Amino acid sequence: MSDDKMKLYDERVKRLKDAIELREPDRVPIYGLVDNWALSYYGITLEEGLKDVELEYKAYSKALTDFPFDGALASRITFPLNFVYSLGGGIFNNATETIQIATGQSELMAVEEYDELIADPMKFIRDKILPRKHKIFQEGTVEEKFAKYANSLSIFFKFGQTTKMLSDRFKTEHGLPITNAGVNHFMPGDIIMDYLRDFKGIMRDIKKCPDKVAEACMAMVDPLIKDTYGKMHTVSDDKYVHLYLHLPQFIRAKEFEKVYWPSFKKYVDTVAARGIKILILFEKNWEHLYEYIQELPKGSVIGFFEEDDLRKAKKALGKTMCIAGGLKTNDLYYGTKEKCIEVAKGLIDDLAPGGGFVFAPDKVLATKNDAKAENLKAVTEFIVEYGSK
Amino acid sequence: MDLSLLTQKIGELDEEKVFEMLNEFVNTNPSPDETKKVVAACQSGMSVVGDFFEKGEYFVGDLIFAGELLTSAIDILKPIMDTQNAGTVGSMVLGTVAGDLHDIGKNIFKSMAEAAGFKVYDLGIDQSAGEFVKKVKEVNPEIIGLSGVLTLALESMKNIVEALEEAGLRSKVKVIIGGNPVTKEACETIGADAFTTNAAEGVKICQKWVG
Repeated sequence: MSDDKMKLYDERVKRLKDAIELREPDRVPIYGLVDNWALSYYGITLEEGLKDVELEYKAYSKALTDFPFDGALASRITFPLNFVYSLGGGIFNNATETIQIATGQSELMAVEEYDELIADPMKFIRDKILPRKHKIFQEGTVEEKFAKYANSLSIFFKFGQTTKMLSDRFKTEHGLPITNAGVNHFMPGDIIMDYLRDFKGIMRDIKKCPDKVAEACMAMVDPLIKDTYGKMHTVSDDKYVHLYLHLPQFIRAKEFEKVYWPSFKKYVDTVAARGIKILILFEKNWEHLYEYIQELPKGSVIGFFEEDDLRKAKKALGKTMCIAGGLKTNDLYYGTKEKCIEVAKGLIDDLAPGGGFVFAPDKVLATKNDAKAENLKAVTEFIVEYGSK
Repeated sequence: MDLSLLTQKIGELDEEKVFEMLNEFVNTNPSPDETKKVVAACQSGMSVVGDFFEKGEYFVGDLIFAGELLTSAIDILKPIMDTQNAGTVGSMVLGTVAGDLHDIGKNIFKSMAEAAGFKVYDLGIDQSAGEFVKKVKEVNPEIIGLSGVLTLALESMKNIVEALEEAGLRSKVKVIIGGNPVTKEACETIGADAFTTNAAEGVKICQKWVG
């Protein structure tokens, strides 16, 4: 690794670290919240990217290095779709050139089964849910099922290895930190919604049997913590745990307090106590929940906000966590360069002093309409200049 | 039957009490007129829910639950309802636009629109301009509702409005767009008549159009 790339890498890691630990960095960092947008920007399809790792790398390295990002979410297509295909399909539908959950297919658990989930989450998911969900477990002899599953696992491990290899290439070839350490978690409440009870199911459970939901969430935390430690043997400044949280935006504060918050807080507190940094995507709007999340451990979390007013979020949460966001995908695609720059300037003026602020798109850039490259370029280059001390 | 209590209990999402009241009512062998009033009271409950949502006291989860509650309530009343004379205030064709598979917002809007007395033709998800045009020709609605979550939905919405224009249908309908990415600017670019990110507000806009 050349010295200048190493230097660039270290500078960027420090810039982000300063922001997360609530100090003022040498300039406002810019985080590349980029996913499948990289494919359309490079001019390839999702299918082409899935077939050829080198092509996938070319696409992502263009999207992540044409703009002055200080760090990025992922080195590649973020979901191990080939693994999902090998299991005989899952809940994803990607016929639309995006990775989207096909609706109404995840009610795999009945409400009567909460007690089993609570008693032993891993056993319940392994013995009951996976066979219901994946085709390869539904036909053939035990040996055949085992062989197919072994094949799927090898695809999964290969995905992990390749992801790490690509991440290392971003470091040595571009001096760009990919903060993803392979720990991409949802919190228990999200897992129940996404994979077990589906949207309608969990909304009903929260009204009718909140104690069961809360208990199940608590039962699922320890396996999640164990999994996190298994994947992150060592603590380093350039790798974070990534959490994507989506249930809380849909429920009332009191419901959040009852079913979601205790297990979520336990996870973050435990992991942060080890010195691990945590990147959290607070999806949609969390304003009604600030009084809870302000209690998360100080200087350990970088919180990406989508629809929250960042000025309000900084005021309420700025002593606890680093606030990230500000580049609205709507402006990035439909607005002008001037509009994007004007918004960025206002945010730097109001939020940069004192630190604890990182620029990023308000949503993960997923499809080509999430940003016009010329707007993204103009606004990020402006931030580099204007956001310096 | 205490109609205002029924409305209130739906508004509070008190499922047990609502079912108890409705089952008791059905057992009294009521007249079609009485039943009509009870259905209306249930529907008013849904607009109470919408008001709580607009005030920020209820969240999307509450709207989902309310939609299910209303469906179950109407199911209880169905055997005694006079479906022949169930008047509607208007009709709409609704769908999630091409490239987008999200239907939660659309379904919430649908149940609230139905509660407000609209006949809703729901096309489902990932629907092309061609599908919308075909359905509009077939059922001749007053309103078209286009839903989407991803930013790419805006382009699909624009295509649909253009297709309506080309088919000579645009002037005969009102178009409302809804969902995560819609804004005033997007609404103007797309050529829709209204936009909303709030199902309750969307239904009110539609009511004004047909009222």
